[in-house]
Amino acid sequence: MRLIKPQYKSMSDEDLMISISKGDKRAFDEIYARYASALLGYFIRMLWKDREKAEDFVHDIFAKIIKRPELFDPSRRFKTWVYSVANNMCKNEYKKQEVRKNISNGLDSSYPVSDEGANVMNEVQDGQFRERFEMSLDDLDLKHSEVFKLRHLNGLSIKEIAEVLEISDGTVKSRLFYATKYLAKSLKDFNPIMNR
Amino acid sequence: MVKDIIDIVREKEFKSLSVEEKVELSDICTNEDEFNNLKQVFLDVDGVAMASRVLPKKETKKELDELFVSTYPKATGVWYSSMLASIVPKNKPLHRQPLVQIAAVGLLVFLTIPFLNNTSIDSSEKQLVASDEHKTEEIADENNLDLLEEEVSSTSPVLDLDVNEFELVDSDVQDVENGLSHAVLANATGATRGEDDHPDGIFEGEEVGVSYSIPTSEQPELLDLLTTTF
Repeated sequence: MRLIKPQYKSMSDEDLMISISKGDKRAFDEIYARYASALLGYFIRMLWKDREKAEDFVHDIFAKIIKRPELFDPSRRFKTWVYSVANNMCKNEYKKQEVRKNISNGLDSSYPVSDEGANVMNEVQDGQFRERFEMSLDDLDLKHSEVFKLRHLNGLSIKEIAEVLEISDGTVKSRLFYATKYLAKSLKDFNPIMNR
Repeated sequence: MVKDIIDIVREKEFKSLSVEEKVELSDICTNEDEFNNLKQVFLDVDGVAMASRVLPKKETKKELDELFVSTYPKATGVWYSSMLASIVPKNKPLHRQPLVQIAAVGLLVFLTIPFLNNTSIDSSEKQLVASDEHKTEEIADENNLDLLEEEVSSTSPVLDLDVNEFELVDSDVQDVENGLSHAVLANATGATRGEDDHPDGIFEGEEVGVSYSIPTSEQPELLDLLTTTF
């Protein structure tokens, strides 16, 4: 069987994308299994914990992969490419929300600061720390929080974050330091170990 | 992967930090307590990241599957494309592709089989030719024997002369018998000589006839010829 079936699990993301462009459904299933959950988590964090919206964004990004796989440049890494697409989608959404906010004179109901019902953090145990952590992240401005999220919650390296956000490694590092310092300070009072 | 400062905080203890690492960390922590606090934050964040792994709804995947089928309606079957991918892998050079290797072996076999058949035909033909030659040699030997016997038999009627038909004097009979014996002897020696002269067995010129030694007294015309010459 090994001779006949290609080992999708061992194939690189880039090879899977080439197979997808030729209509290989199993290659698509594999890339979906690898990234759907991570992207959903990313969208949830980036889109005000709005799970429904995040689901829609996951659908849209994979629909883009199905319909226009040629948009992906095989010389680039798929991981950084897909996160940069996701990041651009979020930025477009911010702009859209900004316009709506202006139109509704600040009475925008579609811009939840904290959606308790959809808050993933509330679904896990030990919610106190997570709540505090979430609040601290929200307090951070976008350029610092997105770097921190990509680094810690999505597991991207500094170089990958630099590629996704199209900024230098040094800028990523400095933003990361700032975010880390801020979070460490804001969570200091919360953490019992820190209070010893 | 190059380790960044966060990896250092996660993996190392404050006491094991090098001078360079302490300088690098000085922006976010200056003493051991701050370092440990930072470490704990990162560990907790990792826990949050693990716990926040959420799976998309099944409906999302179902919709995407339908979209895929509608986008690639004429896509080859999975078994076919997967087999093709294994026979003609894109990431291997041409000479290492199984399909090319199979084709090369097939071509070799295709080109070799006719020659194998030819050699077998040749050997069988050779055997046939050899047996034919052997047979013709045998036949030729038999024919030679027959010819010899015929020749001998053609000369034998002289021997079969009925003595009663002629009334000959004893001496004449004796002469004739002697003459015949000489003729046979001459024939035999002549043939042998002829063969000796022509080892190939090819006799050129006139056919050697059988000569009989008959006393000149019985052939007076020969004497006449002699006198005419001189």
